[in-house]
Amino acid sequence: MLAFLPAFPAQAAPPLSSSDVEAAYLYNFGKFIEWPTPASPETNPAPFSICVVGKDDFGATLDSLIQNDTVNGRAIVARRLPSIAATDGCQILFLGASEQAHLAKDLDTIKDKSILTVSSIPGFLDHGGIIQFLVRDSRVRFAVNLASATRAHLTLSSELLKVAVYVNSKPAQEGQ
Amino acid sequence: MKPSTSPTRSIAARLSLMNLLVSGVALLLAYLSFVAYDLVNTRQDAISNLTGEAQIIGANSVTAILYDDRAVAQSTLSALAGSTDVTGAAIYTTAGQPFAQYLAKGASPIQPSSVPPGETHTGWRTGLDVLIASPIVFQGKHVGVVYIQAHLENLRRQAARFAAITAAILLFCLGVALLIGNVFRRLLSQPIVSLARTSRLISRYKDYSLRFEPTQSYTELASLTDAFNEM
Repeated sequence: MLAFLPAFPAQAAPPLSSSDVEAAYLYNFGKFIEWPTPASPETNPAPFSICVVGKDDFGATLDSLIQNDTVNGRAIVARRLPSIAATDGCQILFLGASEQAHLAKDLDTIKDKSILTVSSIPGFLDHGGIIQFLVRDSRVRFAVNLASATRAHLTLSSELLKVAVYVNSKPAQEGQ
Repeated sequence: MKPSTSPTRSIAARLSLMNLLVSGVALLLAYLSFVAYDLVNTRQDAISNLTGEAQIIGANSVTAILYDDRAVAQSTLSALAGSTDVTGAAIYTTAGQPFAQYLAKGASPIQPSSVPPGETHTGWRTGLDVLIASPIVFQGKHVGVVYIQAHLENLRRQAARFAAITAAILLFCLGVALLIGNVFRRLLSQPIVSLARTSRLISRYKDYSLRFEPTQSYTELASLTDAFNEM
């Protein structure tokens, strides 16, 4: 039962899979994070982009969730990227489980961009990822690496941090 | 006791009674309006304070609801333990499911009702018990509802104190009004008393050379005295 899924009344809906929950969590992150303002602010801002690299289990959930919602007044789009090199214009990047093998390389490719990286891959935070989904007491939760967020010039609201399972402020270990 | 003094006494007594009635009724009406106004005002203040608290709780519970963290919502709600009148609070999701609840010791559980759409807050009142509902809206989306249940015991105490203080002030005012009224009563009845005394002397001693003490106090009494003197 999740409050932000009005399309699925709690009583009648089939139980939500953890990837449904992750999809909802993922796009809501955008509402509690500040991205650095571009040098020349656009009068007509581009849609808020949630990009996915690798294989994800979101199916149509992510697309249907973002349809009728906005992030700070911006429409949301979900883009499945063919490769990590195509992340221009992405605000959030979700790395699917299939990226586990080349996680370090992926994160290194985008290390100079202000992108919120999210994944369920174990050890994601240690590799320099910013938010990692994990399961606690059979609920989807998330943990934050604040040092990585700071390096990407992202400001995470304290409201978001207070619901994180833990907040790691140590910088990620290099060369892992 | 001279029999002829009683009519003047009765004028004086009636003036006093009139004075008491007029001031008393005026002050009583003033008293009732003050107390009623204060009661309505204090109650409105109490409800708007509770609504403010509900909105703060709501704003601080957005992430807890969106990220399904009941423990955080619970701890946000329990901050209301410091609020003396609050007997309980709850957060419900938009689907109407309870999400988190806080109940003061011995308080009855919260019975939520649905909030009419488009309203920012709603209060239900039965006597001193109020239930405030405040929808949680975040970035234009409805994410839940905060309920705060309170027993306005402080309101009762405050109203009783206000009523007592106001009663004391108004009794004092009544006393002063009666004193001032007495002074005027004497000014008004004195010439009549002396008029009556002189006419008594004239009728007793048949001494028509006796003259009435002239009075300047009131036009009517002065012309009455003058008329007697000219007889």
